[in-house]
Amino acid sequence: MSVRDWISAGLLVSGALFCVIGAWGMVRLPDTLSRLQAATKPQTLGLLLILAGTAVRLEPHYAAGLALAGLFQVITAPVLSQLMGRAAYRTGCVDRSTLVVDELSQRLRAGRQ
Amino acid sequence: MAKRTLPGTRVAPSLLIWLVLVWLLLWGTFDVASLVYGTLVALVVLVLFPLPSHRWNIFRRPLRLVTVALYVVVDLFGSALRFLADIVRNGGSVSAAIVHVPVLSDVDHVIASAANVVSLAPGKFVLQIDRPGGIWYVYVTGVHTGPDVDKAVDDVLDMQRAVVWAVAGDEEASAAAGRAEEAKRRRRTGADRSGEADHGDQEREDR
Repeated sequence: MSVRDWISAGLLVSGALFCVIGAWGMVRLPDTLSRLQAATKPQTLGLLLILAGTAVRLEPHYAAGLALAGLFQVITAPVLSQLMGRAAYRTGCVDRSTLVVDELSQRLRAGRQ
Repeated sequence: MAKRTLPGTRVAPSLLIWLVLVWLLLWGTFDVASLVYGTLVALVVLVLFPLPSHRWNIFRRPLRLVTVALYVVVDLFGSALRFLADIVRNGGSVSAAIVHVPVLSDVDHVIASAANVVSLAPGKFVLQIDRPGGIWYVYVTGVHTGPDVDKAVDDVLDMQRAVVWAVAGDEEASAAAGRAEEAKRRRRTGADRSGEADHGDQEREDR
């Protein structure tokens, strides 16, 4: 195996590991907000690593397309998780026992009075 | 105002070039046919879906942008590992908090980019943006005690400051740095915890 193969293998395996972490968190965590963290974030990192690992083995002009996939993942994933998170919070799908402090609910309550 | 609706102002050259570039990268072929179709598609997109006329160039400081990108990547790995360590230590459960963090900038683009960057790392995301009040409500995991909460707020403020430093002007960056320090101090002294009910009538949804 050449150096390039090793780099590629390392990136692909670590990317896959991050995806596994995400899946594991998704199964284990108690509520929507924490599951969102597990479902969206380690997976983003995993995808970036896998794309990088693939790009190492490709010709540059195919790799450019992968860069685009990575860019859009980075731009869209946080927006999605924010919208889902807010919807979950608003509809009460939050396990309050996991929250040490909730300054938003304090604020919303103050707003209603 | 009337000028904004003219097709000529919608089709900004920089946007057009960017869209054509995306098209070319999508197809992976760099020939004349793709270029022509790419330009056509880009024109249709720009005419049908006009963007606000106020635009801003994030590539004004490429070096700073790269610095912040590296900082974000490092933070991404760090947060992922910290997040994992925290779930494992808690045996698959989580201890989190929703904290309010002052927004350091007053420019929409900067706020949106900073919120995106903060939300990118595992274990943190901006749950709600109160634009008129200048407050983010950020969900943070791995928080167990009061000092952890302060630490989380500091992290978000630092990240925000880095983004403002990279994409905004110098005066704004130093103003943001000042506001960040001020916010940290107020948080430490507890002055900020009761004072938030002042503008309590706003429950805005800006994003």
